[in-house]
Amino acid sequence: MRKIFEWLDARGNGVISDARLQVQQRAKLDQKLGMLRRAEVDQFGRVNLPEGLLAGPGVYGQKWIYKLKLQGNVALRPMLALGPVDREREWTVLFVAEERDRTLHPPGRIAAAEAEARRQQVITDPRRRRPLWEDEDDTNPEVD
Amino acid sequence: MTLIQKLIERFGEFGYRHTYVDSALDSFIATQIKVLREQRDLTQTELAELASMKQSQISRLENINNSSWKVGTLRKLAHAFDLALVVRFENFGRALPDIDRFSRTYLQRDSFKDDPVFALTAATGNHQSSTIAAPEIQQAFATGRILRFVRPHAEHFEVTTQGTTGGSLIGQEAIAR
Repeated sequence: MRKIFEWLDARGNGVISDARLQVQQRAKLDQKLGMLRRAEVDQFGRVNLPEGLLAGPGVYGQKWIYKLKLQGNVALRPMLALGPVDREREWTVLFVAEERDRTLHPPGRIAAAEAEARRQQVITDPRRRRPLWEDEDDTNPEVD
Repeated sequence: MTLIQKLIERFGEFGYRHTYVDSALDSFIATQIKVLREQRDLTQTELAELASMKQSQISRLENINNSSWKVGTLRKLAHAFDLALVVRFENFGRALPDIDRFSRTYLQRDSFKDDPVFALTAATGNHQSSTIAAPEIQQAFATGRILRFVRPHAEHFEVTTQGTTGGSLIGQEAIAR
């Protein structure tokens, strides 16, 4: 099971925790991120299970960036990466774009480039992220 | 705060808890269809033929973003997998653990021919001495300690057991005839 982190801005605000989201958006995002902990990732970094959870890696020309798919009136498109500190055990949510009328805000290339810049930031300074939830390994010993 | 602790807190909001479990149900159904198909080494095309459906339909049903599935369609798939389809209402407190247990292992189910309850009956019929162990085995199934038979038709029973405290696989127990 992988741990899910969120990128922090210079003030320590989390890209997920401190985002202004509608109740439905928050619920869908939490559900998908909960699944992401147990997603099966192959040797090429592709997520094979569940189907349709993520696009990538390599969205909008960024080799390490994935896009989480969430449906809704205003669909969230969080950008994330494996690791980047430990690619075997972690995901980090780096940026949250929104899709309205099939158009991404900000545009996909800009959002993905910003996500990549933040990924580099985390590699340089791992304090620029924090876990979304406390580690549950000790409380939930299920093996997969 | 752990994920479950956070969910318990957020489920206090009506819109949140219903959106969350709706999304979880879509994810659960879609992923279980894919897991069951792969457990049986079937391609989407082969499953589609077994269920009298189109391959494109299977592909859509296996995607967690699909929310327009119907019970009738699931029945067709249950027949194709030779599994029982169980649809029921549940209170949120009992639904929560399912949400956190989501995994390939948790979603796999054996077809009737490999169903341990029925395989047990068939196997014990051939070995008189093993009938002594059968009630104990069935009791273990009833309490959830045994997850599945590894070799149900073999000369001896080899079962995978589950610890009573945590829910993790702790090893295999062989019961000789």
